[in-house]
Amino acid sequence: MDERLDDERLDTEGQSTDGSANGSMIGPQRDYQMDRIISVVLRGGVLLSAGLLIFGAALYFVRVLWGGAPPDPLVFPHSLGDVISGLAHGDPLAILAMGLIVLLLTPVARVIISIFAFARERDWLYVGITTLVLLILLVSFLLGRGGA
Amino acid sequence: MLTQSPLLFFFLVLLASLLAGFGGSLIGLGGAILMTPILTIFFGVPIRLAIGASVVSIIATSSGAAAAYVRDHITNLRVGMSMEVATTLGAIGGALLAAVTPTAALYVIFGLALAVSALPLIRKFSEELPQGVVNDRWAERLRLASSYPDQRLKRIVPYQVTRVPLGFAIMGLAGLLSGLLGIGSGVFKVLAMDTAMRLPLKVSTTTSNFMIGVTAAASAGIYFQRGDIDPLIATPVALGVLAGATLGARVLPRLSNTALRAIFLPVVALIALQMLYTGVSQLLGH
Repeated sequence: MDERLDDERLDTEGQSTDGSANGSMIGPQRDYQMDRIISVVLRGGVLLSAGLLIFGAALYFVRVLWGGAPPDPLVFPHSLGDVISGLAHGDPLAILAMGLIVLLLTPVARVIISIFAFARERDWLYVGITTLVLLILLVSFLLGRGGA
Repeated sequence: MLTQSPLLFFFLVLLASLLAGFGGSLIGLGGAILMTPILTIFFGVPIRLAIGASVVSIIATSSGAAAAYVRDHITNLRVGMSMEVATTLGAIGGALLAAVTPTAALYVIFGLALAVSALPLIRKFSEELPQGVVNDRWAERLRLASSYPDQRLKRIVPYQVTRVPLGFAIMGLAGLLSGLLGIGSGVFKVLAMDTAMRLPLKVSTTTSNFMIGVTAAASAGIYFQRGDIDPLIATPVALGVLAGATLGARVLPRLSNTALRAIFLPVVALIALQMLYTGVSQLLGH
């Protein structure tokens, strides 16, 4: 761990005295890769969610315009079980809810991946801190289910 | 609600969110904080459903923007991860508190938070590159000091971090407001990093953005299961704010900052006043 810190210090000092630094030369290679993975996960989650939301909205309005009786918009699924059973029936509101759940889970996925990335760097202190954040997030999901 | 037609409602909310996301990203306020007032004032959406929809859009814009900043290596991941312990705990508290807070009080607190968030529009409250900062005990232990490539200065800027416990406490408060009001509370997070911990401004703002998504996720889970996230409201808000913010980030470098502030500041001030007015008149029972 200490060796890693020294790496970074040397790197930054070398860069600033040298004066010809370019943005692509910062920190050890390991940090670099972690930045990229996190970036891909965040982007992927947002795109997947947006896709589901657009598809679900299109399906909903096709049903409203051409599908006889419009679904009751005040009744929407708000538990994982409801959403999954709604998806099985092709319910557009369940597809929208699924898109929102994917969005909600994107930061969670980012936290989980960070734990692995820190573990690969043998940075156990930050494996601990990031795991704590994950546990807090899991508790929040359980709390939501408990309180109505 | 403003309209009986769900199709018209959807597209009007989508359009309003697009504008809020666009304008919000240009002035650095974030479009989500404008959406709750717009939904309640213009669309007659109950404030709890408006907050639920905003929470979701915060996650979308934060994740989208953070993806770009993290790739540019400006974000301090260690500061972000450490401080997320405080913001997520605060967010859970805020989301639980929201269930028992009277609607009128929500309006008032929202108006105040919006007014405070708009303060940096009037005057930057910090120096770009803080001088003479020395790591405190916690910064040493958590190895928070780092460096980032500054585009404008064209060099790598090393920095140290101080007053970590104070920053942590402010972060907890930022999380609480985020969970209570469904806002990103980026201004409060920047306040913690920039004013308390004295990180460079660019690192503070990008790291704040990075943390907003996780903070919002902690309260969004509670809002979702409570039934406060209506897909037919949250969907156009999330899509609109996301598209608007993406567009805003594209044109931002080509626009003058001071002109933008002159245009948006009165709008934001007016919205904050309207929220305060609604809350106070409800408190007084009209």
